[in-house]
Amino acid sequence: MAMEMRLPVARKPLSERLGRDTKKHLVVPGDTITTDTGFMRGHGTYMGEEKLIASVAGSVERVNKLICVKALKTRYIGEVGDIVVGRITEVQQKRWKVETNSRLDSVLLLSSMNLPGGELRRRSAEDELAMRGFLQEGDLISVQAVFSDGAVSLHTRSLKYGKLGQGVLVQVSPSLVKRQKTHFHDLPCGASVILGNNGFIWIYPTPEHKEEEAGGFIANLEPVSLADREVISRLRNCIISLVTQRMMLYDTSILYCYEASLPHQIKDILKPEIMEEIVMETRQRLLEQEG
Amino acid sequence: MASVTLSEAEKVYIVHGVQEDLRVDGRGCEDYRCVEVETDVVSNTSGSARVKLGHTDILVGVKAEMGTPKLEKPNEGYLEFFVDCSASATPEFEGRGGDDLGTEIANTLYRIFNNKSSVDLKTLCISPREHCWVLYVDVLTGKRVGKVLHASLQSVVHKEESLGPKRQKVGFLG
Repeated sequence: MAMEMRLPVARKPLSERLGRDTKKHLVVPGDTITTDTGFMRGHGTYMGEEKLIASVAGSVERVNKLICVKALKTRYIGEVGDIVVGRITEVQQKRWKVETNSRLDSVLLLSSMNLPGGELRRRSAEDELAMRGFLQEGDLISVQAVFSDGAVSLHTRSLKYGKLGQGVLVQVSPSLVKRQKTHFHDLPCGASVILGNNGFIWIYPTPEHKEEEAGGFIANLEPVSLADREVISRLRNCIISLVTQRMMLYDTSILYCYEASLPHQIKDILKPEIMEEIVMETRQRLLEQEG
Repeated sequence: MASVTLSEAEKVYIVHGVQEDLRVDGRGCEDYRCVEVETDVVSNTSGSARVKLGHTDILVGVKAEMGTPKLEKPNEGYLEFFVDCSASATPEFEGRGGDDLGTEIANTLYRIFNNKSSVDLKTLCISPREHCWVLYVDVLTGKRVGKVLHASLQSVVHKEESLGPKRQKVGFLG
């Protein structure tokens, strides 16, 4: 069992590590943003003593006359149409309670769920009794948010969504997942990724043939090949490195990070220096691509 | 320790991976995660260490005080352990929840350090039957408590004793 040990070093402050000029205006709750009363108040601000004061810790964003503070670390706040990955925590009478890293547990009604046998079936009493047979505590699902009144309501109306099979879950902060047109990505390196808006990221082996996806109820428990496993582990470590360096997560950034990490061994990516190196390279590639 | 619920498919995936010596994060079955150790973090102790292993964060402080040796071991000093699983670690430890785990870990530490080859208690003796050094070891757990026992072992052995005739003891339990 080999072990590497290092001599003690002083910790580098974060701004040095980031290396770029951080022109963001960061505030903490109670900080004055501006004393100019001409601005409209957005999320994360309130008016007190004729000054605009921040109520969350984050960076100030300004769009013309609207000032809002985008929080750096929050729980997931559900928006209609978001794709989320959740874990079942409770099986109740006609619904499931789903954990989605939000302030309240989300709700998945039996009537909003795909059932095997076709979409237009009426939900009968037997279905209610068999609820546990479909989804149990601990199961992972990918769903779409329907409406949120504090607690997010979910549905899986299309066959794309449903119970997830074998793979790896990575939990990150919801603010790091970039909003895009699609959240289901089949990466060319050989694995697929679902970037849930709630910060739950699901990495799984790409299914060989686009068979008729029955919403995943027939669980495929065959062993995944070693090559696929290595790709999935590498992707997981890359996502974690991007998250520790606070970079936005989307398919391009994950892919570039994966390619930058290829010269290293998978377990080496977890080391802090190698993490920084890889993310630096990814950042540069992304800047070049934009510029 | 913190419990995690997983779906059947995830469990199967992990088990198959371990059979092929590949954990979910790419490590082999016998590879360690990155451990970060900081010493001298608490100023009013004789020695202290902070160990971070994955999500687990442990703070250990050691204070040396004069005391009388135990009757059955007049030529040795002794160690006293106290493990505090505070509510700030996880909500499960709220109120009295963390006490059971704390006493269990403390008892295990007592048994481990009762051995001559871990810490030589004879060096803690000042004058037989009258005075000896008593080392009070306090372990405080913060954040999630995955491998508390492991991490606290590493911290305790990392302490510095710079009082009296004792030598500096800095070690690393792998």
